Amino acid sequence: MMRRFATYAVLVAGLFPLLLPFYWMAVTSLKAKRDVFTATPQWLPLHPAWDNYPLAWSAEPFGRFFFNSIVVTTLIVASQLVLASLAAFALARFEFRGRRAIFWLVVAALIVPVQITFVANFMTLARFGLLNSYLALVAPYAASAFGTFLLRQAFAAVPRQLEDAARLDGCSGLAFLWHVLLPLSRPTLIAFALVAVVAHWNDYFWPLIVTNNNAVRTLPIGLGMFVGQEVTTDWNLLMAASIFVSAPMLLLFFLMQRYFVRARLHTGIRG
Amino acid sequence: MIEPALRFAGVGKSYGEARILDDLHLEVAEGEFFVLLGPSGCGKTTLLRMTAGLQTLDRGEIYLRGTALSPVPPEGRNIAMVFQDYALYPHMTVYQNMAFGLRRHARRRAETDAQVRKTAALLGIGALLERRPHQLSGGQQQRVALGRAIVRDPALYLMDEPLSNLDAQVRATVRTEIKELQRRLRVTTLYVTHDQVEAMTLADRMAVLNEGRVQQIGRPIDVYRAPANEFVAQFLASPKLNVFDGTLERAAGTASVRTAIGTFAFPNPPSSLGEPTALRVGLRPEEIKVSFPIDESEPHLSVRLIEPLGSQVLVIAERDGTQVTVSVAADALPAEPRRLRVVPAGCAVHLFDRGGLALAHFISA
Repeated sequence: MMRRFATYAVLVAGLFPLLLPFYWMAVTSLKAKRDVFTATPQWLPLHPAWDNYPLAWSAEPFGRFFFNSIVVTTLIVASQLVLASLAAFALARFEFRGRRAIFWLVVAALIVPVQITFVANFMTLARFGLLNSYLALVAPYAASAFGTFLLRQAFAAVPRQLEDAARLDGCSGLAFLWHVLLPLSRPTLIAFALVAVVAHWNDYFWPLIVTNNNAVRTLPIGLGMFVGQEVTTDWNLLMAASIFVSAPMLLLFFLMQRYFVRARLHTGIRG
Repeated sequence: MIEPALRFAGVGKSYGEARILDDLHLEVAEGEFFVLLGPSGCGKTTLLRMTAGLQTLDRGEIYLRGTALSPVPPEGRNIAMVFQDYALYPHMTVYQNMAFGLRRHARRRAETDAQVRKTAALLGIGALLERRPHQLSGGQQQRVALGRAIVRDPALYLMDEPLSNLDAQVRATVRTEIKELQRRLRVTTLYVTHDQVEAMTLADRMAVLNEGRVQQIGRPIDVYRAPANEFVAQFLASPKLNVFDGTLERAAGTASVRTAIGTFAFPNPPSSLGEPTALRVGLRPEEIKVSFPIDESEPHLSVRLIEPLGSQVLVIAERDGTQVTVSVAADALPAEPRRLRVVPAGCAVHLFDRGGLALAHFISA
């Protein structure tokens, strides 16, 4: 009993510093500009300025940015899932020359910071005249070493006899991947997709480099445009924009978390 | 000659230098329950997997109803297999597990549904159709695995030690069920096991394998009574075969073998038995006649250990470094026996030459 109490006490204490920034963001998004910086912290918005939201929305073409972010994130994650599944399938279930070497290259790619590739990728895209395009935003992230690694491990754990049974059932090659390996790896697929969606929705650096046109800019760039372009930053509007930029991710995480737990319960893999 | 349902013609398989199977010939008749018996690593599972098409042959050919199987992919062979670990798809319900193969073979939905329900009823798993494998007991999973094989209505069942993951009680029940089912459906069955009890109880005929070679083929009772060599005799003995060095002694019209535990006389000495004087003599624990003398002056062995198995008791006795294990009925055993004597008449004696090849089997006179 005491143990449980202590556990929850620690959890709640840990939650506090995690939630505080979110709370402060929400509160600030509803403040008038003059109330953003006050001598004593203002914990509640005394006069909620709901106007901040439409103001922020129209300050930049956020409708367009939203559309761009959805397109880019969807393309990246879909491409990563397809390519990682196929690569992992080959690495986990086929015998071929150089298989181990390729697997270690994938692992090695995990160690390389993505920023190292930026200059080379930028030059390539620039030569092809592809800057300011969806392709420029998607192509460098189309394959994922992390996803390939995760799925390879999941696929390799599926017992050999299941593959044999599937072959006798007339289900080999890609049909085995589709009907057996992927459904069995659903928790891994969902976990990876979640991480990838969040990472690419929030990505700032690469889109900043390859875009200078609102037609293809994504949400994080839109947020960045609030800061420093004039002498003062409208923090209250920035916070309002941050709320609607991060809202889809919070919602997604909230929904998928339950799905994630359920998916785990449903795959009782017996050795 | 009628073409057998299944025929192995000079089948061979090697991994590098190691010969897993060597020039194997076997014929299984239509509707027959055929058991491959052997220790692990004897090549029996490899043979099964090659028949299913999961592994390729290096030499020879396998024929199913006269058709060479090598060019046919696994899904085209009309063969169903039951795996040791059942290999049920964990993410599918029992119904989906059974229907999967049929659907993949492009059967219509209504036909599939009827087949699955009929088979489930046959196996008594109709109430489990919406469950998933992890919600089933071992015995139920085994039944679903059988159902998945039966539902396809194949020309041949392959079973790879299907009972080895079940506990003893369930194993005996499912063993009986498999036998009854096969009797009813009359589908040719190739069954692999290392358990001689399973082989004896299930097989119409069986082949004993060792180190990639067929040691003997025959009805279980014939193999048991007249093992072709010392390996087969040893493998079919429980707990173990007693083997002694022996010498053949011939006199006018009579012959006998002398061993450390007694001399066994032939009832009618075969003329085929040449002149090998040095022999190996095998006696199964349950085929030795013994008495428990009270008198110390009779020649005897000292009882070392008693292992009660219920209705039978194993008695291990020894004299001058020669040990013998016998199995006797529990009610024939005196309280605290100290001495054991082998009664020379009425024992089943198996004679082997120095190389282990069987020379004769007889009940001693």
